[in-house]
Amino acid sequence: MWLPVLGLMIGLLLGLMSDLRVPEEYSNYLSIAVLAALDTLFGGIRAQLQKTFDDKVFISGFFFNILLAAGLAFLGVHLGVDLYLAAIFAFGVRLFNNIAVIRRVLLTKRTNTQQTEKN
Amino acid sequence: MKLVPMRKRLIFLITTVIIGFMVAIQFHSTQEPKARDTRDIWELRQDVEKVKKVQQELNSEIYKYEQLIEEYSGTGEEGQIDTLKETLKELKKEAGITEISGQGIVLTIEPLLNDEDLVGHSAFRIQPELIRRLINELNTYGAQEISIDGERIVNTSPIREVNDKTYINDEPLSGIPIEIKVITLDAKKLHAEMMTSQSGEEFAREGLRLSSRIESIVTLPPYEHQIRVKYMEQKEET
Repeated sequence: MWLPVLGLMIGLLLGLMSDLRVPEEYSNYLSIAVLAALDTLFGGIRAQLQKTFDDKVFISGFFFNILLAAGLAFLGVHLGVDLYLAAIFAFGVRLFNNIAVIRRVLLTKRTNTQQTEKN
Repeated sequence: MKLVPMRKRLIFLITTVIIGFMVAIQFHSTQEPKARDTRDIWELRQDVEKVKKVQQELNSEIYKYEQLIEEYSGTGEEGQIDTLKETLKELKKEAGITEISGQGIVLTIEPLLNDEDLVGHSAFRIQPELIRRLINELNTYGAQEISIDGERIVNTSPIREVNDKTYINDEPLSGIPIEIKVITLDAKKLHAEMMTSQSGEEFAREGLRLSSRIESIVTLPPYEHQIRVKYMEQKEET
């Protein structure tokens, strides 16, 4: 459980120390990529809890989703349609879904262990 | 609880590191870049000079007001009233609602050509823009008080065009020639500046001549209308 948090910390530290900047016009793409990555991460955690985790699916999904989201935003900019909204909507809904499933799985696990302790 | 295999852990770790990295970069990028101070020594010196000047002005102002406070509090009731009256007078003078005289110049706007040449010529009109430019130029060269055609120019004096007529202080300009009286500390210098001024050429383009003469005593009429104060508020007592 502490591993993702630790990874996040390391990443944040690396990013803050590197002092890297993305030009302003590309920061849109990066934010959407972050959203996609978060979505995949939570999907992975859910899959892990439901014991359907497959690392190939996870890794491919991680990179593919990021590229797809950024590509969609890029296409949107060039077509004059705010396509990145579609990506934000899709990833947002999935994020909520995944987190809800994770919460439920954890809750049932907890009640199960409490019951076994009582028995 | 069953232990998660090493491989999966590693994958999770790497993914979260990437996410953290992206978030950090995003955070960096969306932050406003710090404005760097790029002034060199010379510019810094100039800025210091400027600030020092401002400080000096402020100091002298503080001194003035401190003296005023002393006068208010020190003398008896009569003296206080006198001081108040004095202040009121000074403020009125500053606002331009008193008659004022002093050395200065008189500018005259008249037709550039002789009267005989003007047969059949339509009446001249002085564009408000011309007058505005002239006032700006006069102020640049150190004019203290200005009146145009008997209308005192204060900070809020409107100069506009209504129905093809130029109005100053909501009064139409009388016909040509028009006199502009200016009070200044150095009349000679202002006269010399006005002889070669940009405004002179602009008036000439409209067929008007702007001539200037020095006078030892120029008397300007007071501003006669209500001064409307729109964007000022009374300061609350502290």
